[in-house]
Amino acid sequence: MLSRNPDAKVSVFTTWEPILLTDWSKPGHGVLARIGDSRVKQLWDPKHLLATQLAKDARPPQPEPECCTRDGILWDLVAVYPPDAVWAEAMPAAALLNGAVVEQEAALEAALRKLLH
Amino acid sequence: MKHADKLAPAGALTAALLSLACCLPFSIPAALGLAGISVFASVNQVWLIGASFLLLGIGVIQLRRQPACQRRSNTSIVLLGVAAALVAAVILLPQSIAGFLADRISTSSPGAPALTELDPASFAQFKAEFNAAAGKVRIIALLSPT
Repeated sequence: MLSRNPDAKVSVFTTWEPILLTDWSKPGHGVLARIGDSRVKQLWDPKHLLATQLAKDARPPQPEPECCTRDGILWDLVAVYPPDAVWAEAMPAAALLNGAVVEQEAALEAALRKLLH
Repeated sequence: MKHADKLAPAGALTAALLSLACCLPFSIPAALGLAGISVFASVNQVWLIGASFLLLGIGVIQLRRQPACQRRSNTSIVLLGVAAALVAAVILLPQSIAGFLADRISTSSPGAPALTELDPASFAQFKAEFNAAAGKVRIIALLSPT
């Protein structure tokens, strides 16, 4: 998606969190290298701080995700925020919030087109 | 053929490892001059895994059908066992194995992506970075490493 939109004004925060039994350590170089774009910042969130915050601050008009929790923790989902969104006391409402990430490619592209034009 | 009983498990292992080429970062097969393998593996992953099972089966049959008078080679048994374990690992934990291999192969490559650990202090920094990127669409993806 990023490679198809090389000039899109986007900041991506890829947040890795331990969810599966096999997530016994932070992602290594090989995993991180899968997302090699200068617009991406990669984070390791072992205590699920961001997932917890996202769940706590969820409110309309933010859409309800159709999936994406395991043991009560949000994961494998993507949230898209418009350019004018500001994180004040609570996180802003996402324009798109859904998963699984791999299934959101078309929705992501559509959201990008809508929010950037 | 003297080493025929070792060919099947070795082939099974090769096919299983080949099936992982799809899941390695593209730069790794490319750096090894094997970029085409990555494409081939992603298209034929199911066939490669099937071939692993088939070759393991052939290996087991070869061992079992050896005449009683002929001593079984310990090397063949060990090789078959190792191949079976590795094929199982590749099938059950493909991303873990691919990540492990990628980490070992690519440690010397420059420009390793930075990883910031989130804790209560850095979380405030993350919030500041999120707001500093105002004017851009911001995307947060929550993912599991494996």
